[in-house]
Amino acid sequence: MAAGTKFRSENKGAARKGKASKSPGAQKNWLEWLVFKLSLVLIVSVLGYLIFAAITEPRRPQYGFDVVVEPPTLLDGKYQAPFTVFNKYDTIRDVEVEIAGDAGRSSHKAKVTFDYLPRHSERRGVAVFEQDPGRPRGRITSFSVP
Amino acid sequence: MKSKYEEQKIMARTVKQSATEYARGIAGGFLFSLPLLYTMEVWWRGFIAPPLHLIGFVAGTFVLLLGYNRYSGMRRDATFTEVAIDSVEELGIGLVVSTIILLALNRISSGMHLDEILGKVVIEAMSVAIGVSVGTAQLKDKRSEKDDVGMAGDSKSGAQSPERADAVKSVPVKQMAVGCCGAVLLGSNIAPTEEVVRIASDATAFHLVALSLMSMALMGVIYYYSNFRGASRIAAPQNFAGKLAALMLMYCITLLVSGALLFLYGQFDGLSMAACLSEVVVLGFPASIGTAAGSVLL
Repeated sequence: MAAGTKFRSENKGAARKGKASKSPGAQKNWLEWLVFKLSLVLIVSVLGYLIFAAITEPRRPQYGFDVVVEPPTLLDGKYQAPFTVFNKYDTIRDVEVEIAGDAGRSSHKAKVTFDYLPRHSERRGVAVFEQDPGRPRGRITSFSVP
Repeated sequence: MKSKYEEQKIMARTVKQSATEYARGIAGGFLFSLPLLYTMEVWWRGFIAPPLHLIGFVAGTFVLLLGYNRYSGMRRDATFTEVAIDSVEELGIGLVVSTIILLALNRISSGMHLDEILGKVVIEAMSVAIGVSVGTAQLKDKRSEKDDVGMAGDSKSGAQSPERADAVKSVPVKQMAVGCCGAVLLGSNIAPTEEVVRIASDATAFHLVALSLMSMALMGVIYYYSNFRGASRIAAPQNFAGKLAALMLMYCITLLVSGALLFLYGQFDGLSMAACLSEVVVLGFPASIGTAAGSVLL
């Protein structure tokens, strides 16, 4: 008990002295502390996110792709329809997208292959049609299984 | 008044000094990691790798930084806490630098999912961080060394100081720790490439034996027979058997590092054990040069 009390009182003394204490970072200047603190925050956030992702990953539902096609616009005498494909799987996929006009003619089809579409990420493309495709829709014709 | 002025002057010099150190570190980060920042396979690995592998990258790099900063960094006489603080700083600088370069190269942009951005940044940041650490300690102008305070353990001045005698005892551990950094610096430029898989799948047992013998021979040349700069710091066993044993130990460590790199870069995915081993030996050749040159030069 006595030793404990003594230790506590010494600690108080050190705290009162404050700056005189010989901490490991005593020689560090404000710039070094700033860099260290920012780095620590950065690393803890990155690791925190990764650990969170690692824990929740198996519970996330795994399904499909989203293909969103915007209405075509006439550019350079061609009908151009920008589209976005989003990979909802938890793994990377190669994916082939087909954009077809609603007129149903075979000339109203455009195909694009995206290699390495990362998980939960999107890629953009443009489907080009010779004639007005109406309201084009997109679908996935094939994708790779990792 | 004068003393206050002097105090401020000392403080300013110290801040300037650390700014110079960071600048040198960042330059080193670029120097050692630009090949990786310009390699497609590394970006891909960034978004293919599961979060656990990315955590493995961060943890492995942190251990390497601790080892390097302890045995060969700027402040080898520092306490563990100081070494850890330096390592955290280097990792942080690595993350920031790799984010900036990937943005400049348009490899990450606002349209991407956080997973993809983070994967790329984390993977690239690890080699930048090692580059920062090595750059801070190695790219320093030797003539300005005397002016610095609190870096008594720096490579050249340390060689003359009494602490050196103490350090000699820990040479094998130092050699291993710094050698690992060398192996990672050189090996990680090659580990993610398709070429490793290609060479390994085409290699016969004869090629692999030849590669591993060549690896050990080159290490031996660098350590004992080429008068490499800094080779005299390596504790050289007197007899041939001792040298051979030391070489085999360092080669084993190199193979372990190669295996870890290949695993983290996903080069083992879906392969048989024999194919994996073949890859390890193939990468072990450049990595062993990295180990030997690293533990001598860094």
